[in-house]
Amino acid sequence: MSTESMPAHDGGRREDVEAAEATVAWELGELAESVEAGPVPYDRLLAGGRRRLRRRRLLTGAAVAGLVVAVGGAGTLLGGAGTVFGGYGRLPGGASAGAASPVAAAAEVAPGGPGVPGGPGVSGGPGALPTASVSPVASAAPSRAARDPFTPVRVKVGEGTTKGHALEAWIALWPAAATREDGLKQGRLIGEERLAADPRLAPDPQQGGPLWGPSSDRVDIYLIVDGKRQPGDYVVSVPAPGGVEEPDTDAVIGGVMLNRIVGTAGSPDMVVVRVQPEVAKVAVRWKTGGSVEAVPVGAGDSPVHWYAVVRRQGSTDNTAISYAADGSVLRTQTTWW
Amino acid sequence: MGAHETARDDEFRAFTGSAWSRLLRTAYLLAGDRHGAEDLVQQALERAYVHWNKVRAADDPNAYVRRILVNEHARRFRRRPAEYLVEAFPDRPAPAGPDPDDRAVLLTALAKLPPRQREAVVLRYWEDLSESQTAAAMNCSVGTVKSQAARGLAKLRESSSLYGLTSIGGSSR
Repeated sequence: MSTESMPAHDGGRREDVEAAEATVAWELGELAESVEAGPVPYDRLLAGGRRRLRRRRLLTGAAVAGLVVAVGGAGTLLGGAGTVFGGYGRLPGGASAGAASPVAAAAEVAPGGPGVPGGPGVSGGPGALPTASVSPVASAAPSRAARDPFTPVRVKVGEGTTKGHALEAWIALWPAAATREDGLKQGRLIGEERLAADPRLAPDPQQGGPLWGPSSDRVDIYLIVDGKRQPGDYVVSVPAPGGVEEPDTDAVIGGVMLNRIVGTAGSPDMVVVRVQPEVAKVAVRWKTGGSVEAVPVGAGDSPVHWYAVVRRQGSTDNTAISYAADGSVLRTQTTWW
Repeated sequence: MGAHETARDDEFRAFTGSAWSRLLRTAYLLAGDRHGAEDLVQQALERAYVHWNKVRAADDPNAYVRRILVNEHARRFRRRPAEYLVEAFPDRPAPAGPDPDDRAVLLTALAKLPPRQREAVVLRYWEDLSESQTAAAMNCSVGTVKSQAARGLAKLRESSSLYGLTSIGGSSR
């Protein structure tokens, strides 16, 4: 414990204070350890959290609507505000429309990290996940015409094994739809893919998806185990090239768990983590010892990059260190996984 | 509930499972009783759930939620000072001499500290945070942490009931 605030000439007093600090620390420890933590009231915590979240979203929606009315006042703008009220900007509309299969040809596979454990591979995706040539991740924004909102770009971001199963983490980047109608169609296509992977998925007009916005790509993150896509994916909204973050998201996301088959809810088998494009390599140091490295990849021209690692079971509060291309440390993060 | 919400719940459960006991113990030292501690942690974790994207993206999610906890504690004192700033627990008489239950003695002495001093003492000496980490958790300057912790420590040492502080580490004066 630091005593840097104490004057150096008063050695006796410093020792006295240090002794008191040590004693207080010890006594506090004894006192705190006497508290029986008991079982975690998950249900109560989740109910309270959801209640707060609903209230916040309602308030946010009301504020946005008020702002739109105040600034614009036009009918077209009011229509946009209504979307916010209708579920935080999520897509309304039916999921049961009998559109054709949305699984289109994949555009590319991003470069892999040769020799990097847990890093992205360059092998082709299984089954309905055709692959094309290996190409570097583009950083420049292409023309809008080059981005097809109905044709996802698929990239394998990591692979590994656990309990005898071969795990692969994939992302499907669905380029931003320019209009709300196209956004609806895109949402239906994503929903149909998800339903194909998980027939138990309840029909959900919103598809559990994120906000639609003309400047936001959608990314479906999913797990393939032993060559088969698994249920329990995760759809997020990310900025398209030149776009901005939607509300309630962060520039860097801490990780998405992909765990529905061989893992448990509180102990994911694999995590996919979003990083800034400046990150050239990530080293994960396990709390229980050892480390693994991963090379983030992007899909198409997306400015958002991702990496994936197979978790070490029983090791939480690990350290993830992000490195730039020149080897400098960009960020050190204590992981929740 | 959509997949997005389900994933949030799963992650939140995983985090809460690992952080619960530590948060509860810190809250116990801040609030002074079990009921108040549970209420404090509940409020903090509900806020963490709402801002889950920020929590999971933080350099140290535990530190982020601890900061929420301390803010919640400070907010309560700002709102209801008369309810908390008591000289002693009414249902617990001050010990007349050395008390075999040092925990009760320390808890009583902690309760007498102003909230910011209590936060500084708990974070510095129980959480074992550095001065800068404590400053981040309390949303104040390092200088404030130094002064609040020093004053809190001095008051604990001056407390006539805190005999435990003189039994380990020598005389307190």
